[in-house]
Amino acid sequence: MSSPDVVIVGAGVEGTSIAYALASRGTADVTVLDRDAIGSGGTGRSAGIVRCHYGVPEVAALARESLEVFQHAEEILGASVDFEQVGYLVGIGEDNLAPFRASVAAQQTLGIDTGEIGHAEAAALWPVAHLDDFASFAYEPRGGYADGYATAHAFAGAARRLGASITQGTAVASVEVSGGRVTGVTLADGTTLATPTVVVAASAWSVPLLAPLGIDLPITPYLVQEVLIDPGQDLGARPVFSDMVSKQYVHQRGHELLFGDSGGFERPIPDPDRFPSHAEDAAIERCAEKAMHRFPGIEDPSVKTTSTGMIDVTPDWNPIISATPINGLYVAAGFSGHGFKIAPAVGRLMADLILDGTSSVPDVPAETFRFSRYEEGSPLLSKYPYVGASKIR
Amino acid sequence: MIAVLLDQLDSTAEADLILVRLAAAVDEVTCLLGSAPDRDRVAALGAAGASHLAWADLAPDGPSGPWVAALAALVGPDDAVLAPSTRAGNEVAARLALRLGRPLSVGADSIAVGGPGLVVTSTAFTATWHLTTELPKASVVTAVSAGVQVPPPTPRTPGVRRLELDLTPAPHEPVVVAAAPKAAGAGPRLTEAAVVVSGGRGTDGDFSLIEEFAGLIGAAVGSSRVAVDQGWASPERQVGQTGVSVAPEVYIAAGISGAVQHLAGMVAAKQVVAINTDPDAPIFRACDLGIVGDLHTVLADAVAAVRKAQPVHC
Amino acid sequence: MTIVVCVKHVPDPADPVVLAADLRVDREAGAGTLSGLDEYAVDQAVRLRRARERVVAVTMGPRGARAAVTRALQMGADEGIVVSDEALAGADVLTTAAVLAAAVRSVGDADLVVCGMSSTDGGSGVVPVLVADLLGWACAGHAAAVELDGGRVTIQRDDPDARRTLVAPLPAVVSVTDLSGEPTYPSFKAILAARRRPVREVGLSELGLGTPSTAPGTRTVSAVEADPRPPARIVTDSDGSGAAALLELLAGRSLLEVDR
Ligand SMILES: Cc1cc2nc3c(=O)[nH]c(=O)nc-3n(C[C@H](O)[C@H](O)[C@H](O)COP(=O)(O)OP(=O)(O)OC[C@H]3O[C@@H](n4cnc5c(N)ncnc54)[C@H](O)[C@@H]3O)c2cc1C
Ligand SMILES: Cc1cc2nc3c(=O)[nH]c(=O)nc-3n(C[C@H](O)[C@H](O)[C@H](O)COP(=O)(O)OP(=O)(O)OC[C@H]3O[C@@H](n4cnc5c(N)ncnc54)[C@H](O)[C@@H]3O)c2cc1C
Repeated sequence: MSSPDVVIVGAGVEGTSIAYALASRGTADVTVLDRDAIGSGGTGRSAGIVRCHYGVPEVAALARESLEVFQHAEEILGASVDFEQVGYLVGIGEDNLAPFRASVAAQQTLGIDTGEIGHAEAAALWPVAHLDDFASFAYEPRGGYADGYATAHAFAGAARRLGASITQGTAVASVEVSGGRVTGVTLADGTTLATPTVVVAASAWSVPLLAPLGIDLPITPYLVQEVLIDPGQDLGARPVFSDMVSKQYVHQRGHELLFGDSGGFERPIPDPDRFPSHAEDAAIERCAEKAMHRFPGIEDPSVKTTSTGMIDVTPDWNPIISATPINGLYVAAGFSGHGFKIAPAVGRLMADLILDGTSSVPDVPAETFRFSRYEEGSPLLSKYPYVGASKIR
Repeated sequence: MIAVLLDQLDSTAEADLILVRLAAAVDEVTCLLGSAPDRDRVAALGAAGASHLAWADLAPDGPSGPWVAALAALVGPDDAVLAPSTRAGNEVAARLALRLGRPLSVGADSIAVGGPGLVVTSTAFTATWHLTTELPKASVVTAVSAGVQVPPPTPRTPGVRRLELDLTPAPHEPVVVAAAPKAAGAGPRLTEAAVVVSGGRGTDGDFSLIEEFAGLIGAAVGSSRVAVDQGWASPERQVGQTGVSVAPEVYIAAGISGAVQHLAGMVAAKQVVAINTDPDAPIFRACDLGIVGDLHTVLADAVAAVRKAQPVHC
Repeated sequence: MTIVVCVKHVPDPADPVVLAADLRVDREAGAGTLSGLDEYAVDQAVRLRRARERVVAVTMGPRGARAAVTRALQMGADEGIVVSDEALAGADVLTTAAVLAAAVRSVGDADLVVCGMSSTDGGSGVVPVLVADLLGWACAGHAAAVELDGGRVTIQRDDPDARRTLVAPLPAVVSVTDLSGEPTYPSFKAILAARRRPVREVGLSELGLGTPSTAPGTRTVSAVEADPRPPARIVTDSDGSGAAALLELLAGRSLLEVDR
């Protein structure tokens, strides 16, 4: 490690994607540093759902661009990301029908392969589900889910082959600045690494790294809880299902089903490193109630295990992908629980910001995810908000 | 005085000697034996530091009640009691502490005079923490033997006496109605071997290379719980929180992922070698030498190399 | 008749252990869970439940300990008792056993108590035998298998030298090992049904117990986290390099000399 052109802090799916994007644009002298291992943060715990159903057009566009990479990972990155293209189904209630239709139309304008479908078609996709309380559905045949850990490793491997280096087990203690310019980073063991450019992609851990520089990232760690159930029967391959009536999402993992709550039960935690490893009883009971209501066709589902994770939430539940007031210092953090499906395009956007100061990602202006939007009072909100749902839409 | 409980079903002669040496560093030792000792046994226990040997006809596989009664008769109000921290030893110790109204400390890995009487150390939370505990002298303590440091003993010439007591078990104590003996198995005992080779799910049920390599180098064979659950290894081979704890010079974990419950049984090993195909297996963060590879290949290579190096027996 | 199953609420083994300033486990730090080894006990108790019988899950612990009883109800227990009392903070095994024995007595018609082989946190494994002695009952510990027949309980126990069959008269306490059969995870139906089952919260006075004596006993004076091993030397096996590294390590400690 001499003095790389760019240092990236954090080898999650965002950091590794940025490294790959920079390296594939010819900036090979990139060093990614992770305090632990590739994918050891939120990335390794991610449900990995991939879909484009967003009410913020720029987020939808990032997801649309990323889909190409998930779908052709082996050609592009030279490794599998375990993408299961089972499709993505979203069901909506009467109360949200108007914004839903507007959102689907906007997505279609962006060229996203999605469309409204009726009850009969939805029932064919999820035969064990009770669907009477939905007003309508949309279906994205190209959606599905991939593996967070495998994706981060695929990006890391591809970046390495292009000359980037990835150092694990190395924590960054501080970012060094002089005269309003980044000069390097200091590692936990006290050594300094000189560099003119630093990208902080360290999820909620980005906050303490930037605070000493007077940059207060509005990012709060939240706890999310998921329940893995054993349906006790073979359901066949079913699309990911976003249930906007009961507020839950479901997807298959092998023979099992992973349930998450989208009813806004994520809660802030004081320390991103300290949270329970398993779901709380209340979360399991909520999941049982919702699942029993929605899937009467599954005779006797049982809990297989539960898991939790930390997400880095911003006030508008959208990421910060941005330059900062300090020259050479960039941030890609605050992904608010939906950073996986957009990660491939986030890498490209950040490489553009660093190398050109503009964006080459279609339909995503460079300033969309700027850090200053909070200060300016112009948060990035859905144009078609759904009532009663968490803001990841 | 410190009374030491010996001859428990799930302890060994070697572990008993370690216990006596641990106790001899604390006070004058009286041992409780389950049968009359022969001359060799008297000499061995004396060499380990025992001053007195008391015995009664107590069956190792009999109920714990009579053992408790015999110990209770042996100890005075100021005496300490030390028992092996095995299932049987802990049971006798706990019942004795309740009967005598004494403090109890289970699973010590060192014991010394200090504080209000005794200071013991132990591990907790699947061996992730070390605790130091103080107790009055007249306490009941159980101690592990694997890997403990014992001071060199001062040899004694112990006196031997028989305990004259009615040791009929209470009518409700459980009785053994059948016993299916297990094959003794070749090689050293798991808890005493200098090298332990353990296999887990990664063996896929084939322990033959593990056994062959262990046999060649005089190692004992251990296993993870998965291997026991699958019926690939017998229960007494299980290393870990609910199996045995071992502290060999070298512990070789082949096809074992390194779950915290497994680590709890082998953290005291001086050197740990892991053989695993998954470079991200947690065992690689808890070993000294990590071999990323297929255990069948690595062990077959090792067996071949040892055989080649061995002089041919004529 | 009633089967009582004793359950303990412990820190989730997947969470790092946090000790508070007084060296007691900071039970508020993580969510905590039913001790993994007690799941086997609940499973066996439910399996052994005879017609017209009930299984009562009993726990002693702080308020959060109720979660252990909840899980037992989800796994099929019929009722729960939570003994919670300020005076019980930091209780040792002898106090714990006294409280559990009193709770068993309060059930009235219990003739079998099932426990796990030890707790996953403290791990002494002696609570079952102490409960038995306090009740004046038989104790058959470390069972890999349990059966009831008439007025007797029969267990299988794996000893190092033999697998033994033991018989004890009822009433009795048994503890079961983790080889007694994999506990089944609760179904969603069971989880929802468990919410309707009664749980009684009692203090020491309701059990007819006084404040536990604070006679001089054991006192933990220090607790330190075990040092992790230094980072390992990693060898990726190719062409016998793995075996070579293994044999070199053994030879370096003179452990290859045997059997020559
Ligand atoms: C349970 C769960 C389910 C999810 N489901 C989905 C989903 O279905 N679809 C979707 O799109 N998104 C989902 N997400 C969100 C998505 O997984 C995350 O937004 C994404 O993985 C974040 O990647 P990251 O690289 O920003 O962060 P992380 O993966 O957390 O990476 C940050 C890295 O920074 C390192 N680090 C921290 N501090 C330092 C330091 N000082 N020095 C060096 N390194 C440091 C950490 O070790 C870590 O590896 C989910 C998240 C969770 C937790
Ligand atoms: C209360 C409780 C108590 C427990 N007590 C114990 C205990 O005392 N002892 C114990 O061991 N466990 C215990 N467990 C179980 C423990 O949690 C783990 O499930 C168990 O240790 C896993 O066994 P394993 O490592 O063999 O299997 P796995 O975790 O499945 O690991 C198998 C490993 O083999 C590797 N592998 C596969 N093929 C190969 C190959 N060809 N070559 C090399 N490597 C290969 C894999 O990469 C993997 O890392 C307990 C659990 C609980 C809840």
